[in-house]
Amino acid sequence: MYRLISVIFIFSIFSLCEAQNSIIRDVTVKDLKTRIESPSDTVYVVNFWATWCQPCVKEIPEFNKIPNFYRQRPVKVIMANLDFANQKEQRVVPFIKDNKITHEVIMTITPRGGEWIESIDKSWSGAIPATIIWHKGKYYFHEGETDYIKIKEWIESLL
Amino acid sequence: MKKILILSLLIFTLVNFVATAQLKPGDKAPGFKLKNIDNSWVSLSDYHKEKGIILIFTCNHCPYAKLYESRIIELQKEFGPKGFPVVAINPNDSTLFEEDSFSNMISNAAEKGFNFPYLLDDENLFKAYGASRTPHVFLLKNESKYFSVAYIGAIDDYPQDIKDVKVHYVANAIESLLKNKMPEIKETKAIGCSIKYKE
Repeated sequence: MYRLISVIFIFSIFSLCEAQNSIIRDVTVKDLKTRIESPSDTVYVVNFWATWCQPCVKEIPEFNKIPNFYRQRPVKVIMANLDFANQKEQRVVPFIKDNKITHEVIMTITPRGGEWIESIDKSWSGAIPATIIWHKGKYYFHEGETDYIKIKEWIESLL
Repeated sequence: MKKILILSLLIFTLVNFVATAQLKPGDKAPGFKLKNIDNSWVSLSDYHKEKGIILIFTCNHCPYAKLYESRIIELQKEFGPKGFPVVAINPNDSTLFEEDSFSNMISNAAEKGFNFPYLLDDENLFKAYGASRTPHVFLLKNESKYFSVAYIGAIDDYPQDIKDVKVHYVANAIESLLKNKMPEIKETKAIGCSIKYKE
Protein backbone atom coordinates (compact mmCIF):
# COMPACT_ATOMS: atom_id res chain seq x y z
CA MET A 1 0.00 0.00 0.00
CA TYR A 2 2.78 2.34 1.03
CA ARG A 3 4.58 1.50 -2.12
CA LEU A 4 1.53 2.31 -4.19
CA ILE A 5 1.09 5.66 -2.46
CA SER A 6 4.72 6.57 -2.98
CA VAL A 7 4.53 5.56 -6.64
CA ILE A 8 1.45 7.76 -7.08
CA PHE A 9 3.22 10.51 -5.16
CA ILE A 10 6.33 10.35 -7.34
CA PHE A 11 4.20 10.12 -10.45
CA SER A 12 2.22 13.21 -9.51
CA ILE A 13 5.41 15.16 -8.82
CA PHE A 14 6.62 14.22 -12.29
CA SER A 15 3.40 15.32 -13.92
CA LEU A 16 3.47 18.54 -11.91
CA CYS A 17 6.98 19.25 -13.19
CA GLU A 18 5.85 18.53 -16.70
CA ALA A 19 2.86 20.81 -16.32
CA GLN A 20 5.12 23.59 -15.12
CA ASN A 21 7.46 23.06 -18.02
CA SER A 22 4.72 23.64 -20.51
CA ILE A 23 3.81 27.01 -19.00
CA ILE A 24 5.47 29.60 -21.17
CA ARG A 25 5.19 33.13 -19.95
CA ASP A 26 4.63 36.05 -22.32
CA VAL A 27 7.36 38.60 -21.63
CA THR A 28 7.77 41.95 -23.36
CA VAL A 29 11.19 42.94 -24.66
CA LYS A 30 11.14 45.80 -22.15
CA ASP A 31 10.51 43.47 -19.19
CA LEU A 32 13.14 41.03 -20.44
CA LYS A 33 15.69 43.83 -20.61
CA THR A 34 14.76 45.10 -17.16
CA ARG A 35 15.18 41.59 -15.77
CA ILE A 36 18.61 40.89 -17.24
CA GLU A 37 19.98 44.39 -16.76
CA SER A 38 18.97 44.79 -13.11
CA PRO A 39 21.89 44.65 -10.64
CA SER A 40 22.52 41.11 -9.40
CA ASP A 41 25.30 38.55 -9.27
CA THR A 42 23.47 36.35 -11.78
CA VAL A 43 24.90 35.78 -15.24
CA TYR A 44 22.04 36.03 -17.75
CA VAL A 45 22.27 34.13 -21.03
CA VAL A 46 19.44 34.99 -23.44
CA ASN A 47 19.06 33.05 -26.67
CA PHE A 48 16.67 34.42 -29.31
CA TRP A 49 15.20 31.51 -31.23
CA ALA A 50 12.10 30.27 -33.06
CA THR A 51 10.67 26.85 -33.88
CA TRP A 52 10.92 27.67 -37.63
CA CYS A 53 14.62 28.55 -37.40
CA GLN A 54 16.62 25.40 -38.12
CA PRO A 55 20.02 26.62 -36.87
CA CYS A 56 18.29 27.77 -33.66
CA VAL A 57 16.72 24.36 -33.10
CA LYS A 58 20.04 22.66 -33.86
CA GLU A 59 21.88 24.59 -31.15
CA ILE A 60 19.32 24.08 -28.34
CA PRO A 61 21.32 21.10 -26.93
CA GLU A 62 24.33 23.45 -26.57
CA PHE A 63 22.26 25.76 -24.37
CA ASN A 64 20.95 22.76 -22.43
CA LYS A 65 24.55 22.08 -21.38
CA ILE A 66 24.87 25.40 -19.53
CA PRO A 67 24.85 24.70 -15.79
CA ASN A 68 22.86 26.74 -13.25
CA PHE A 69 26.08 27.74 -11.52
CA TYR A 70 29.37 28.73 -13.07
CA ARG A 71 32.41 29.51 -10.91
CA GLN A 72 30.15 30.08 -7.88
CA ARG A 73 27.90 32.47 -9.73
CA PRO A 74 24.26 31.71 -10.53
CA VAL A 75 23.60 31.40 -14.25
CA LYS A 76 20.12 31.97 -15.66
CA VAL A 77 19.48 30.87 -19.21
CA ILE A 78 16.39 32.32 -20.90
CA MET A 79 15.30 30.81 -24.21
CA ALA A 80 13.48 33.81 -25.73
CA ASN A 81 11.15 32.48 -28.41
CA LEU A 82 10.29 34.65 -31.42
CA ASP A 83 7.48 32.66 -33.04
CA PHE A 84 4.39 34.84 -33.54
CA ALA A 85 2.51 35.36 -30.25
CA ASN A 86 -0.68 33.75 -31.58
CA GLN A 87 1.22 30.57 -32.53
CA LYS A 88 2.13 29.76 -28.94
CA GLU A 89 -0.39 26.95 -28.39
CA GLN A 90 -0.24 25.68 -31.93
CA ARG A 91 3.56 25.61 -32.42
CA VAL A 92 5.64 26.49 -29.37
CA VAL A 93 3.89 24.39 -26.72
CA PRO A 94 3.95 21.18 -28.84
CA PHE A 95 7.57 21.87 -29.80
CA ILE A 96 8.55 22.07 -26.15
CA LYS A 97 6.76 18.80 -25.45
CA ASP A 98 8.68 17.05 -28.23
CA ASN A 99 12.09 18.65 -27.71
CA LYS A 100 14.10 18.81 -24.56
CA ILE A 101 14.75 22.37 -23.42
CA THR A 102 16.13 22.36 -19.90
CA HIS A 103 16.02 26.13 -19.32
CA GLU A 104 13.20 28.63 -19.00
CA VAL A 105 11.34 29.36 -22.24
CA ILE A 106 9.51 32.66 -22.71
CA MET A 107 7.39 34.05 -25.55
CA THR A 108 9.05 37.31 -26.47
CA ILE A 109 6.38 39.93 -27.04
CA THR A 110 7.89 42.33 -29.50
CA PRO A 111 6.62 45.78 -30.41
CA ARG A 112 5.69 46.60 -34.02
CA GLY A 113 8.57 47.45 -36.35
CA GLY A 114 12.20 46.62 -35.67
CA GLU A 115 13.43 49.29 -33.29
CA TRP A 116 13.46 46.86 -30.38
CA ILE A 117 16.12 44.79 -32.21
CA GLU A 118 18.51 47.71 -31.94
CA SER A 119 17.66 48.08 -28.24
CA ILE A 120 19.16 44.62 -27.61
CA ASP A 121 22.35 45.49 -29.50
CA LYS A 122 23.10 48.02 -32.23
CA SER A 123 24.95 45.44 -34.32
CA TRP A 124 22.06 42.96 -34.45
CA SER A 125 20.54 42.82 -37.94
CA GLY A 126 17.53 40.80 -36.77
CA ALA A 127 18.73 37.44 -38.08
CA ILE A 128 18.37 34.56 -35.63
CA PRO A 129 19.79 32.75 -33.76
CA ALA A 130 21.26 35.53 -31.63
CA THR A 131 22.59 35.39 -28.08
CA ILE A 132 23.25 38.02 -25.44
CA ILE A 133 25.03 37.47 -22.13
CA TRP A 134 24.64 40.01 -19.33
CA HIS A 135 26.59 40.22 -16.13
CA LYS A 136 26.83 43.21 -13.79
CA GLY A 137 26.38 45.95 -16.39
CA LYS A 138 28.62 44.31 -18.99
CA TYR A 139 27.37 42.29 -21.92
CA TYR A 140 28.44 40.24 -24.90
CA PHE A 141 26.27 39.96 -28.02
CA HIS A 142 26.56 37.43 -30.84
CA GLU A 143 24.51 37.10 -34.04
CA GLY A 144 24.65 33.61 -35.52
CA GLU A 145 25.11 30.07 -34.36
CA THR A 146 27.15 29.14 -31.33
CA ASP A 147 28.11 26.25 -29.08
CA TYR A 148 28.67 25.57 -25.39
CA ILE A 149 32.44 26.17 -25.56
CA LYS A 150 31.97 29.64 -27.06
CA ILE A 151 29.21 30.52 -24.59
CA LYS A 152 31.51 29.50 -21.75
CA GLU A 153 34.26 31.75 -23.15
CA TRP A 154 31.85 34.69 -23.39
CA ILE A 155 30.66 34.15 -19.81
CA GLU A 156 34.30 33.95 -18.74
CA SER A 157 35.07 37.27 -20.50
CA LEU A 158 32.41 39.02 -18.41
CA LEU A 159 33.45 37.68 -14.99
CA MET B 1 59.00 41.18 -38.58
CA LYS B 2 56.84 42.85 -35.97
CA LYS B 3 55.80 45.51 -38.47
CA ILE B 4 54.76 42.86 -40.97
CA LEU B 5 52.76 41.11 -38.30
CA ILE B 6 50.97 44.30 -37.28
CA LEU B 7 50.36 45.23 -40.91
CA SER B 8 48.94 41.84 -41.78
CA LEU B 9 46.77 41.95 -38.68
CA LEU B 10 45.51 45.37 -39.75
CA ILE B 11 44.76 44.18 -43.28
CA PHE B 12 43.05 41.12 -41.90
CA THR B 13 40.81 43.21 -39.65
CA LEU B 14 40.08 45.61 -42.49
CA VAL B 15 39.18 42.81 -44.90
CA ASN B 16 37.01 41.22 -42.27
CA PHE B 17 35.32 44.54 -41.61
CA VAL B 18 34.70 45.16 -45.30
CA ALA B 19 33.35 41.65 -45.75
CA THR B 20 30.75 41.92 -43.02
CA ALA B 21 29.83 45.62 -42.94
CA GLN B 22 26.41 46.47 -44.29
CA LEU B 23 26.16 49.20 -46.90
CA LYS B 24 24.76 52.46 -45.61
CA PRO B 25 22.07 54.59 -47.24
CA GLY B 26 23.85 56.83 -49.76
CA ASP B 27 26.54 54.24 -50.58
CA LYS B 28 27.21 53.15 -54.15
CA ALA B 29 25.55 49.81 -54.90
CA PRO B 30 27.96 47.03 -55.95
CA GLY B 31 27.33 45.69 -59.45
CA PHE B 32 26.47 42.09 -60.24
CA LYS B 33 25.86 39.62 -63.03
CA LEU B 34 23.93 36.59 -61.83
CA LYS B 35 21.98 33.75 -63.37
CA ASN B 36 18.22 34.08 -63.48
CA ILE B 37 15.77 31.16 -63.17
CA ASP B 38 15.11 31.38 -66.95
CA ASN B 39 18.85 30.76 -67.48
CA SER B 40 19.48 34.31 -68.69
CA TRP B 41 22.08 36.53 -67.07
CA VAL B 42 20.91 39.60 -65.21
CA SER B 43 23.22 42.44 -64.30
CA LEU B 44 22.73 45.71 -62.47
CA SER B 45 23.70 47.69 -65.58
CA ASP B 46 20.73 46.13 -67.48
CA TYR B 47 18.57 48.50 -65.43
CA HIS B 48 20.22 51.77 -66.46
CA LYS B 49 16.96 53.06 -67.96
CA GLU B 50 14.97 52.49 -64.75
CA LYS B 51 14.63 54.99 -61.91
CA GLY B 52 15.78 52.39 -59.46
CA ILE B 53 15.51 48.76 -58.33
CA ILE B 54 13.91 47.00 -55.40
CA LEU B 55 16.71 44.52 -54.73
CA ILE B 56 15.62 41.82 -52.29
CA PHE B 57 17.76 39.06 -50.80
CA THR B 58 15.26 36.30 -50.20
CA CYS B 59 14.93 32.52 -50.47
CA ASN B 60 12.50 29.61 -50.67
CA HIS B 61 12.76 27.95 -47.28
CA CYS B 62 12.54 30.80 -44.76
CA PRO B 63 9.05 31.28 -43.24
CA TYR B 64 9.57 35.04 -43.15
CA ALA B 65 10.52 35.03 -46.84
CA LYS B 66 7.39 32.97 -47.56
CA LEU B 67 5.23 35.49 -45.69
CA TYR B 68 6.48 38.20 -48.03
CA GLU B 69 6.27 36.40 -51.41
CA SER B 70 2.83 37.75 -52.31
CA ARG B 71 3.81 41.22 -51.08
CA ILE B 72 6.90 41.19 -53.35
CA ILE B 73 4.67 40.24 -56.31
CA GLU B 74 2.46 43.23 -55.44
CA LEU B 75 5.49 45.54 -55.21
CA GLN B 76 6.48 44.52 -58.74
CA LYS B 77 2.90 45.08 -59.99
CA GLU B 78 2.72 48.51 -58.45
CA PHE B 79 6.22 49.89 -58.84
CA GLY B 80 7.65 47.97 -61.83
CA PRO B 81 5.69 50.17 -64.29
CA LYS B 82 6.70 53.28 -62.31
CA GLY B 83 10.41 52.60 -62.86
CA PHE B 84 11.22 50.55 -59.77
CA PRO B 85 11.21 46.86 -60.75
CA VAL B 86 11.91 44.05 -58.28
CA VAL B 87 15.05 41.93 -58.52
CA ALA B 88 15.12 39.02 -56.07
CA ILE B 89 18.35 37.24 -55.18
CA ASN B 90 18.71 33.96 -53.30
CA PRO B 91 21.98 34.03 -51.34
CA ASN B 92 21.68 30.67 -49.59
CA ASP B 93 24.06 27.80 -50.22
CA SER B 94 21.87 24.93 -51.46
CA THR B 95 24.33 22.33 -50.13
CA LEU B 96 23.21 23.59 -46.70
CA PHE B 97 19.54 24.03 -47.63
CA GLU B 98 18.30 21.81 -50.46
CA GLU B 99 15.03 23.77 -50.58
CA ASP B 100 17.01 26.80 -51.82
CA SER B 101 18.59 25.04 -54.81
CA PHE B 102 18.38 26.51 -58.33
CA SER B 103 15.81 23.90 -59.46
CA ASN B 104 13.69 24.61 -56.38
CA MET B 105 13.94 28.35 -57.10
CA ILE B 106 12.49 27.64 -60.55
CA SER B 107 9.63 25.54 -59.19
CA ASN B 108 8.87 27.94 -56.31
CA ALA B 109 8.76 30.93 -58.68
CA ALA B 110 6.44 29.04 -61.06
CA GLU B 111 4.18 27.88 -58.24
CA LYS B 112 3.86 31.35 -56.67
CA GLY B 113 3.79 33.22 -59.98
CA PHE B 114 6.86 35.41 -59.47
CA ASN B 115 6.65 38.36 -61.87
CA PHE B 116 10.29 39.40 -61.36
CA PRO B 117 13.77 37.90 -61.94
CA TYR B 118 14.89 35.50 -59.22
CA LEU B 119 18.69 35.24 -59.30
CA LEU B 120 21.06 32.75 -57.77
CA ASP B 121 23.84 34.39 -55.77
CA ASP B 122 26.67 31.90 -56.14
CA GLU B 123 29.32 34.64 -55.81
CA ASN B 124 28.55 35.82 -52.27
CA LEU B 125 27.16 39.11 -53.55
CA PHE B 126 25.20 39.36 -50.29
CA LYS B 127 28.51 39.99 -48.51
CA ALA B 128 29.27 43.00 -50.73
CA TYR B 129 25.88 44.43 -49.75
CA GLY B 130 26.18 43.29 -46.16
CA ALA B 131 22.85 41.49 -46.32
CA SER B 132 22.47 39.21 -43.32
CA ARG B 133 18.98 37.82 -43.39
CA THR B 134 16.09 36.89 -45.66
CA PRO B 135 14.16 38.88 -46.65
CA HIS B 136 16.50 41.91 -46.70
CA VAL B 137 15.68 44.82 -49.02
CA PHE B 138 18.12 47.25 -50.63
CA LEU B 139 16.21 49.94 -52.51
CA LEU B 140 18.52 51.32 -55.19
CA LYS B 141 18.27 54.71 -56.88
CA ASN B 142 19.60 55.36 -60.36
CA GLU B 143 22.16 58.18 -60.21
CA SER B 144 22.72 57.91 -64.01
CA LYS B 145 26.33 56.71 -63.72
CA TYR B 146 25.73 54.28 -60.90
CA PHE B 147 23.10 53.12 -58.42
CA SER B 148 23.05 54.37 -54.84
CA VAL B 149 21.35 52.80 -51.83
CA ALA B 150 18.27 54.79 -50.78
CA TYR B 151 16.74 52.47 -48.20
CA ILE B 152 17.77 49.26 -46.40
CA GLY B 153 15.65 46.93 -44.33
CA ALA B 154 12.18 45.44 -44.14
CA ILE B 155 9.30 45.68 -46.64
CA ASP B 156 6.84 46.79 -43.97
CA ASP B 157 6.34 46.81 -40.20
CA TYR B 158 4.19 43.67 -39.77
CA PRO B 159 5.42 40.36 -41.23
CA GLN B 160 2.70 38.19 -39.77
CA ASP B 161 -0.29 39.60 -41.62
CA ILE B 162 -0.45 42.11 -44.45
CA LYS B 163 -3.86 43.26 -43.20
CA ASP B 164 -2.30 44.64 -40.03
CA VAL B 165 0.54 46.53 -41.69
CA LYS B 166 0.67 50.17 -40.62
CA VAL B 167 3.85 51.40 -42.31
CA HIS B 168 4.86 50.28 -45.81
CA TYR B 169 8.57 51.14 -45.61
CA VAL B 170 9.58 50.22 -49.19
CA ALA B 171 6.46 51.68 -50.84
CA ASN B 172 6.84 54.93 -48.85
CA ALA B 173 10.53 55.17 -49.74
CA ILE B 174 9.73 54.78 -53.46
CA GLU B 175 6.94 57.36 -53.26
CA SER B 176 9.49 59.80 -51.81
CA LEU B 177 12.01 59.04 -54.57
CA LEU B 178 9.31 59.53 -57.22
CA LYS B 179 8.79 63.02 -55.77
CA ASN B 180 12.57 63.61 -55.94
CA LYS B 181 12.86 63.46 -52.17
CA MET B 182 14.98 61.16 -50.05
CA PRO B 183 13.02 58.57 -47.99
CA GLU B 184 12.12 59.72 -44.48
CA ILE B 185 12.97 56.31 -43.05
CA LYS B 186 16.23 55.12 -44.59
CA GLU B 187 16.89 52.02 -42.53
CA THR B 188 14.83 49.50 -40.57
CA LYS B 189 15.50 46.17 -38.91
CA ALA B 190 13.38 43.03 -38.75
CA ILE B 191 13.57 39.46 -37.55
CA GLY B 192 14.49 37.05 -40.33
CA CYS B 193 16.37 33.89 -41.20
CA SER B 194 20.13 34.14 -41.24
CA ILE B 195 21.74 33.73 -44.66
CA LYS B 196 23.10 30.18 -44.95
CA TYR B 197 26.65 30.00 -46.25
CA LYS B 198 29.88 28.18 -45.56
CA GLU B 199 32.49 30.28 -43.73
